[in-house]
Amino acid sequence: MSLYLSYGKLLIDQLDLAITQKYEEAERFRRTEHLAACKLQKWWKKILLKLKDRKRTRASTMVLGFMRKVVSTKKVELIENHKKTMKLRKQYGKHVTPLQALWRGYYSRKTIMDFYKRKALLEAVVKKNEETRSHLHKMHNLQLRMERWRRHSYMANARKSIHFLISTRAREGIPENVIEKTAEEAAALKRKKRHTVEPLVIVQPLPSPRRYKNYVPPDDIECFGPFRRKESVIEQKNRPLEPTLRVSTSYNITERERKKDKQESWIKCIQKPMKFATASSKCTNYDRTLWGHTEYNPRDFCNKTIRYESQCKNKLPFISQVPVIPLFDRLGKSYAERSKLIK
Amino acid sequence: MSQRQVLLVFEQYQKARTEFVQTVAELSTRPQNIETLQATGVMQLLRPLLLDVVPTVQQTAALALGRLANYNDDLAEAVVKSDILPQLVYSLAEQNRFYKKAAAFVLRAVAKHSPQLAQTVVDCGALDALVICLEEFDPGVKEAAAWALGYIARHNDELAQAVVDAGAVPLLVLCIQEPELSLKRIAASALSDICKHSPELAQTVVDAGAIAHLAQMILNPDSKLKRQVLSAFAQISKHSVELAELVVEAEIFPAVLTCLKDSHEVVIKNTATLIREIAKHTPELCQLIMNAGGVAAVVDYIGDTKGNVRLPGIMMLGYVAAHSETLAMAVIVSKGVSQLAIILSDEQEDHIKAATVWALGQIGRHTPEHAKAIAVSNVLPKLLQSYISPDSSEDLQTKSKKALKNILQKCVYLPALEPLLQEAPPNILKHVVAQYSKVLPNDPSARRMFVTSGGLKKIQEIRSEPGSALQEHIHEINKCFPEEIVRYYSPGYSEALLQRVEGFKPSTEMQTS
Repeated sequence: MSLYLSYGKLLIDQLDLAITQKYEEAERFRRTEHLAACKLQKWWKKILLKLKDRKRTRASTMVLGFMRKVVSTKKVELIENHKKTMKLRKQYGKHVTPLQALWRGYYSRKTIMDFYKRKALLEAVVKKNEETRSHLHKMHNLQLRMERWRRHSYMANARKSIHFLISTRAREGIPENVIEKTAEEAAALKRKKRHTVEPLVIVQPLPSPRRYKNYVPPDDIECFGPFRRKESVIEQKNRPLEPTLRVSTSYNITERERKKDKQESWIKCIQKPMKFATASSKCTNYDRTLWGHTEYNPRDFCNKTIRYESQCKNKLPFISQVPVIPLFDRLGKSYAERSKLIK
Repeated sequence: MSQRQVLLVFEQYQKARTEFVQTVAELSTRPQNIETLQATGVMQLLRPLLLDVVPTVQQTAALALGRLANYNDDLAEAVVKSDILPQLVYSLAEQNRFYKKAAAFVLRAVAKHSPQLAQTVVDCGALDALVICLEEFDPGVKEAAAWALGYIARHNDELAQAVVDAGAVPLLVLCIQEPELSLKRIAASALSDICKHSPELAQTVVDAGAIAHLAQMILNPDSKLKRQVLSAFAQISKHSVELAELVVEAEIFPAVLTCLKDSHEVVIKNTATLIREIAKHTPELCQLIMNAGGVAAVVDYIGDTKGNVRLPGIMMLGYVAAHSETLAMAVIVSKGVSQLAIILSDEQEDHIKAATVWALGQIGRHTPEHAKAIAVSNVLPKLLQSYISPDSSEDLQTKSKKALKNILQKCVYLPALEPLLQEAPPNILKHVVAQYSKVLPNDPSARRMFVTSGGLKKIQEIRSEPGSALQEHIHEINKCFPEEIVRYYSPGYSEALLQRVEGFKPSTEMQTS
């Protein structure tokens, strides 16, 4: 059985082997056919593609050619137009540019920087400056004139007030009392023009002082200037003497009397309470310079370098300047001891 | 002892006190006596006399103390240390007008020396008492109080603020309206001292209505009053545009220009200061001053005055010219440049020269037209001289350099540039050469002039670093001329020619013939 089995296995194996070989052969054949078919297909596809490409290429070439033609035509047109434009611009530029420059200049001067306005402004400034200068010059002259007038009037007033002392046109007589001037004389003075020069009158020299007591101005000579009338002079001279009890008083007698009255009223009135300042804690004590304690007792009122404060421990004991009292001596007491007791 | 004899003793004592205090007051008027009085301890003697029962003694003692404190700050400190101030402040409210005047005088004399002393016066409560004195009927008391307040406020803004907080400003404005001239002066001075520190303080014074009253006094014939009023206006205007406009709205122009012709220098100076402080803010305010003829008035005033008096006017012209080219041209047509050129040559003070140089720079920096106006006045060599002179201060040199640079960058007037080509240092020379390089390529006649005047020769002699701006400009100039001319003027060319002559070998044909 095993032999048959093995023989059967062998047959089967052989069959398998033959089948396998057949399959392999068939496979090889199929492969060959496949390859051949592929080749054939490849060859045919290639031809087909070439045919297709040819068509496409032709079509695309036609399209591209057409587009290129259009684009280049347009380019050429543009270039030609540009050339024409430049030519025209060059041609008209000679005439138009000056017009434009003129307009632009005018426009900028009018709006951006108005030179006309600026020119007018500067002319107005120059004119105004001249006016201002002349006005200030006039004001300055007026001020100087005012100053001169003020000084002149000041000097004239001063001259009038000290006329009696410095006048070189003194006339003999006695200075006139202004109050006694009559109304006619006052009116005559008012009517008198300014700056009139009075005629110089040759005056006889004054008599010597000894003779002056009985001197009366002669009738024929008229006294010019601020002098009293002759009649009032004569009247005063002839007035009888009326002596009074009034004695000569000093110039400031009234002030002295007023002061005296004040003092008396101070004495009589009740004294007001004194008000003292609220002293701060930092204030220094009032140092009575007249009653200090130094070597020189009382303190000499002189230079700081000479005065100096003595130390507390070196303070001398109180020495009385009062003369010795016999009673104290008898009792054996002294001020120094008393001062110690008080302390 | 009878009553009469007892009273006689007291009378003699009173007489002695009165005589003593009057003599001390008289002696303290002379400076030579002050040190002797100080050495004798006069402060300690006068202090109790402030409390004397006799009012005359009190007043005279206060007056003497005031005169002593007025002399120097040591004595003022002694017054403070002697605790006199509280008593004075207390008495200000209680005593009569004579004592008030004397007390205010003492406070003023103490406060004037330093801010610390002024602070001490304020700490004593003096401000309230002084402000109450401003309401007094007597003008003398008001004047003394206003004076003291002004001296306190002048030191710094804190003290000025304290014075304002005490309510002094409306009362000072009322004092200005009083008929007494001395009171007006002092009140105006106090307001000026308050305004000068800050815009807020100036605004406080303006809000009190001071401007209208001050403006009425501008044409007052009294010079001392005018100077204080003008000073007050200047201090108000300097802070801001709004304040300056408020001052201008008071219609001070053109009336204030007449003050430039005053006989007193301080009035003139204060007027110029006021105009300067207004002009420095905006072009519109400058235009207003120009329309009023202010520029011409200022130009005349700087010509008539000398020294520090003319300094504000010079600065005013600079400020006006700095705003715009039209205003700068207005300064030129008002003959400002020629006047400034005269000042630059006449003045000796460096700070005035520096201001002049600055003003000229502001005028000439706008356009070639402006630069030409400066150049024609022969100012450029003077500016250069100010720059290179070793005697000039640093400020003057800096300003000269800047002005030269600004003017040269716009100047195309070549005849004015020639002197600079010979003398200028390298940092100025580059600007000069730059201007030549701009003008020469377009102007044949200028090129001819440049060669004949020796400019081309000078250009060739300049040594410049390779690649620098100066060398580029020199190169630009050289391109404007033929090469042989450039070579002719280059340094060492004659020697090169002579060397060529030496090295030249004549040809043989020449030899045989």
